[in-house]
Amino acid sequence: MTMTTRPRPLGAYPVRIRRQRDLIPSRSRRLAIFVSSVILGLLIGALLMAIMRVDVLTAYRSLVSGAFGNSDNLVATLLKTAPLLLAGLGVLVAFRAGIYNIGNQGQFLAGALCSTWVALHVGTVSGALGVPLMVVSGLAGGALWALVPALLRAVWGINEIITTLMFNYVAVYLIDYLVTGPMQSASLGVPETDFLPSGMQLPIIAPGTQLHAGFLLAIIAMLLIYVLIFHTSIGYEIRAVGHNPRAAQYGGVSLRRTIVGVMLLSGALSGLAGMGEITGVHHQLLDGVDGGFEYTPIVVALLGVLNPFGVAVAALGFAALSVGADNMQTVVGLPSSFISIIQALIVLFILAGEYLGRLTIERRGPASESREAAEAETTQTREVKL
Amino acid sequence: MSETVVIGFLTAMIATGTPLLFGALGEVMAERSGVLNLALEGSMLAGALISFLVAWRTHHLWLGLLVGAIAGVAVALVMAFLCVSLLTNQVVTGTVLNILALGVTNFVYAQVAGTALSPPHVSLFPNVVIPGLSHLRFIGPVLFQNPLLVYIAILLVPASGWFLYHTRGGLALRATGEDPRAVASVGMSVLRIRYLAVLYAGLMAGIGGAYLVLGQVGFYTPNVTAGRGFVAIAIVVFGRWNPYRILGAAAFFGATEALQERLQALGISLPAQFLLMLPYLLVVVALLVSIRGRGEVGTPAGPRFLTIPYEREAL
Repeated sequence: MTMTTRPRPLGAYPVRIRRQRDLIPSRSRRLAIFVSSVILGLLIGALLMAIMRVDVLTAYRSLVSGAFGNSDNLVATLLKTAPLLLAGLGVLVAFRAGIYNIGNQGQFLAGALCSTWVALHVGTVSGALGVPLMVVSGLAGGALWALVPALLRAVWGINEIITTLMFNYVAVYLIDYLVTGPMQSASLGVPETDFLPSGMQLPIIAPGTQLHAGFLLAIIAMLLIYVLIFHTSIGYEIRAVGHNPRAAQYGGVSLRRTIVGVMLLSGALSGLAGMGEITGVHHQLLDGVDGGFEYTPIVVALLGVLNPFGVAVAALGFAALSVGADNMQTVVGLPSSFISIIQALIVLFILAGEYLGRLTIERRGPASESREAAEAETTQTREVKL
Repeated sequence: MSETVVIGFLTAMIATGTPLLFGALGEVMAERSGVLNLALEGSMLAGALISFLVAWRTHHLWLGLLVGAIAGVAVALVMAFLCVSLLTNQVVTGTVLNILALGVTNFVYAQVAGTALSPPHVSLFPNVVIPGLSHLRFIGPVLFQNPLLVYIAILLVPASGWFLYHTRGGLALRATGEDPRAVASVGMSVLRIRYLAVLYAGLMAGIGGAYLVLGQVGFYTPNVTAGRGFVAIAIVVFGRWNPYRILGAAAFFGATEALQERLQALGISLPAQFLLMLPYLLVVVALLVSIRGRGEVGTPAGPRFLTIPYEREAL
């Protein structure tokens, strides 16, 4: 780069926008990106509604009142928040380690299946033991479903994105087979299992409503995952592997152990979400218990910027959107898939916003030029591939 | 096994393998340029829906195919803009785009055709019988009595191989996936190469999705692709990023799908759900077989810079 020898007045240097490679956007800037992404998503939603000749205000009002309008709606929103939060935490744990476990749907179903099977075969155990047994079987089912992709990835380096996704389809067909065959209820005569014994159902935590203990489980899980990720050495290792596996390995972290551990924990959390839906909501296993939880946890985890509290907020927001969407469907006739479009759009805007968040406006002067020269010399850090 | 059964099976294999082959031949170019285009599934689904709607409304199959292909490119354009220009994480972006494509297709289909009493159908692409060759015993009915798109897909295999290994463009494409900085240092635009590769993948996936609906099924159901885009991505891995091996891999997965349909029709006592699971399980097995012993922990085989965004250095 040629440097001008004669000093120029500062104003003569051109203003330019440049992107700083390693700049981590400030908290306020990230918040601004987040808020503007949500607003942009809702605006595009409004635009679509206008095109479809739906009254925008009525639609959004029905959305909000459907989610929070009365105590029943609020409970419905909270009921939906719990599984989204749990499965979202599962996605978070894996993504934090750079492991793209997108098999949360299959792991959710495996947790649901495992807890149903245990409950129907063990029968009622003495009062206090039923719920812990359900929790353990939900965790185990989800972890088990993640085990094969985890080992394939850890031992042979086989891309977990494809394997976890393939296992989703396997889980869907397995459940379909079981509820129409071996596990079908003899008395109900429909493709559903028998109802779980009452001792195996999650207790209601708000009398007179449907709100069950799964909500508390989700809150506890959120706090535990927060402590795990940010305040333990294991969490540090997980983040290190996610940031740069090779460097973490040189630092003494076992990649294999981390990958398997993270996948199992991720699967277990999704399994717990599935368990909650069975023992807290449906009280039996049937096709489509995963309805609404197929891909949403991934979006929730990303929207929550892979932070446990962020994921909780995103889960609440998405639960509200999907519960409100049902009301919106009845009021203005917009199908619930409309909301899933807006949800995905918001996350896309946030992804794009990350780039904008690193842009800085600066006046080009001698100082910045010499800094650029120094930067150009430092080797470009390679993000490590999957 | 009688000859007609085998012929029927092989014909079905070609029919089910063709959308996968289209998708995989597109994806291989994107991956060779260093972009893991997970949005292939979304491109395929968009291509399937749009081609179906256009063909259903206009009764022009080829117009449907064209518009469907454009829809596939449109999804890929978003993918390329985010991943190549804005340097976003490819896996995350692809996953979110697939979710978006699923939402949009479900929404559009419900708006346009959801109220129809019986699900709308379209006629399928007619078979093009190759004179002379189609009378060959056994080979004739399997290979030379197919819709035009099947021939195109098969001819694309040597064309892709020729492009990748015997042209300057192919060399540049492969180099971009192996070391983008080397490509940039000789004055070529990594950005342009990656854009073209991803858009091409979207085009192929759009055509593959269109063939699925207009050449194979004849109607649309929500999420009709059911993970075929991901199977196509697995085929690229299984075929080790080589078009000829990809043809073999696509035939293999076409065969599993065809087998699943056959066994079901033959009334084999295995529950239907297990047959439906089969292709998905075999993807996992195939990945294991193809990669075992290669690549160290955490670094699967493939182009060295796959999934790594390239940022042009400031001058």
